[in-house]
Amino acid sequence: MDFEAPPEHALIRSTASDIAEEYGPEYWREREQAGEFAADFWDELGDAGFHGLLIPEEYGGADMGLQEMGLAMETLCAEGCGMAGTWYLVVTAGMAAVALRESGTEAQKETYLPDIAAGDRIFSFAITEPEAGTNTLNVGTRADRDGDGFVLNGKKAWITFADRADDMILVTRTTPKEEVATPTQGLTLFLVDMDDPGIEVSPIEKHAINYSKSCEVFIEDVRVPAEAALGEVDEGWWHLVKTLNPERVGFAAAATGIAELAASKAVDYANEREVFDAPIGTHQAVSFPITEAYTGVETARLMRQKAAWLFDQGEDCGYEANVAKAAAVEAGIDAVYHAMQAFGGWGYATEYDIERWWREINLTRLAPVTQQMAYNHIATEMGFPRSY
Amino acid sequence: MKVLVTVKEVANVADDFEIEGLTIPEQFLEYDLNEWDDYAVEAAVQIAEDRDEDVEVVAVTVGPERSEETVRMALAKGVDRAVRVWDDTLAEAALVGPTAMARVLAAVAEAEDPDLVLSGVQAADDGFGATGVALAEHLEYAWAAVVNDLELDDETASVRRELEGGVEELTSVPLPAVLTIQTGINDPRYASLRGIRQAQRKELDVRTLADLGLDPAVLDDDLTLTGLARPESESDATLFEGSAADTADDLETVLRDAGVSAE
Ligand SMILES: Cc1cc2nc3c(=O)[nH]c(=O)nc-3n(C[C@H](O)[C@H](O)[C@H](O)COP(=O)(O)OP(=O)(O)OC[C@H]3O[C@@H](n4cnc5c(N)ncnc54)[C@H](O)[C@@H]3O)c2cc1C
Repeated sequence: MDFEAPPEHALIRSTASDIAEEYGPEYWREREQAGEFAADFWDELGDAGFHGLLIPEEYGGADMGLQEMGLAMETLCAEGCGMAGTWYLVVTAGMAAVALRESGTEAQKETYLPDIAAGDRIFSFAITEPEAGTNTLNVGTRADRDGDGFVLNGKKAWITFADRADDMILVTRTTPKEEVATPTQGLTLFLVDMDDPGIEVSPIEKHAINYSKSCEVFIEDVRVPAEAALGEVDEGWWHLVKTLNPERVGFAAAATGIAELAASKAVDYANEREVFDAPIGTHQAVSFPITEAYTGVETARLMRQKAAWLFDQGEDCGYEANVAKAAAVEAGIDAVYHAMQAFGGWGYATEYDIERWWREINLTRLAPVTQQMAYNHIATEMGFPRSY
Repeated sequence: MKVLVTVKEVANVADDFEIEGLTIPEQFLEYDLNEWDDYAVEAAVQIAEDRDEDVEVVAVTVGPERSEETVRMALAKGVDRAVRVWDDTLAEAALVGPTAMARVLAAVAEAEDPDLVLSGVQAADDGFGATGVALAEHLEYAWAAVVNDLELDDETASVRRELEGGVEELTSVPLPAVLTIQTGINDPRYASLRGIRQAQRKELDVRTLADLGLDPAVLDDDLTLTGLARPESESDATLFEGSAADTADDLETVLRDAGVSAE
């Protein structure tokens, strides 16, 4: 056992903090209210090398691991960016970069990875459909063989950044569920150019994180060459799974990071705000609920580090990533809830930001894996009968 | 061309701190790269980026192992390699004044033989503001202090120096030279993740005074640390709370104590 962090962690934290200071709560309040994509923040992450964090050096990346990605995201979130610290990294720099790194052909890596590292390409990752949310294997988007290539047809829901993405990793079914031994077979991932005229995108109005759009995506007769398949045809599930643990680690980092941010603001406020001749923080009814949640945040952080460590060792980390994510969500939501309480009525004012972080952190119990599905996985590992 | 940058890890003191003898205990301290040195590092890296010839930038620090974090920061920002000087003699010294520090740095500079040495104007913790200039004296290099603009050709550094009262001076300094760099001369970059990665492979040499051919007596100095105290605060405010009658009584006591009376 060794809890000593390598020296570069302090440097990553320092760079992430510098950026978060520049793009602090007020910046995000404005982007959120205007419903604007934060292009300057995206570019800044590119200049600082965050988009290339997980990409090998020969493709212009920093060749670091999921441990460092978790740290970078958590620090950005905690030092002022809120959810945006994970949101702007998780799809392209997290999932797409990992999918290409792990499953891409040499030609695919050369085409996409240097651009991702430089911040010049935005990806969407399209898994969810109206009839396939928690039940991913129910994917109905089809890829039919057509000469040398495939023709894609279907409908996706909630696809983040689809309104502006250059490319999309699309989860399709190449062999119908009825014709395969288990439903995990017969899926294929494709790299799809979003400029294709057969793709239409329609944003879904949503509760928070409005500095990005999540969209319905309609795919009609989109023709792609065989080389657009990412990983082997019909084996897509196994390539997809490699990206889901980084995604969970990313959302675990978001939950602990937002909780850290909200708790630190609440601590400041509880020291300053005097009611009945004493700072409100002297009342344990104010301090203890936040403190109790915070102990959970601290432990969830450790579990995330374990999951990321396993991932970086090339070991199985599904169980640990689910535990880390579920624990971070539980503790994080609790921490922000009680941090908001400490602000009293001012917790409801947009200018104090707490209400925004509250809206933001609530996504983590719904996506990318719902809290129940995370518990389903953990419960099955514990020995309960499988419920899905 | 070779540029040597002196960097120091400085201690920032917490708002509430205590003094124990001649030191402030660790729990009240946080460490960071000296702000002025951050500008000096940026100036050096910009020289390396802007010039056509190969420029090697070497950072030197005198400090314990912990200070490698700030040196790595300099490496991640583009410095090519670093030297850290430390041993028991340095660790046990209560104070290394600017003259003694300059002797240590000079030994490194003599071995490196740089064309240009950049140091910060001062360190944020002990604030002597003299180390860079003392180093120039030891090396018998030309020097300019409090530089806030710098242009370099093969033989001279054309600098703008900040003087008192908003006056600025333009000077040419023949190389080799030592310049002490003022904040604001540039916009220091942060370490990119690729830079952080590359820094892991860069050379960070640790040397003792003996390695540099220095005798422990090199630290002997006329300057000694005799005491450490919090400055008396000049404007203590007392806030009276309560009714007018109570606060009037309080005020009377204060005035009487201060020697003001009606008689
Ligand atoms: C803002 C936002 C952004 C998103 N971005 C993306 C994206 O970029 N790409 C993408 O592919 N998807 C994205 N998603 C989709 C997200 O991953 C899904 O919404 C999520 O997986 C849940 O699916 P669902 O909404 O269909 O819920 P459903 O599957 O309909 O589930 C409904 C409820 O039933 C529960 N439930 C279902 N089965 C069980 C069971 N066996 N046991 C217990 N409970 C059960 C669920 O936990 C949930 O509470 C995004 C979603 C949101 C809100």
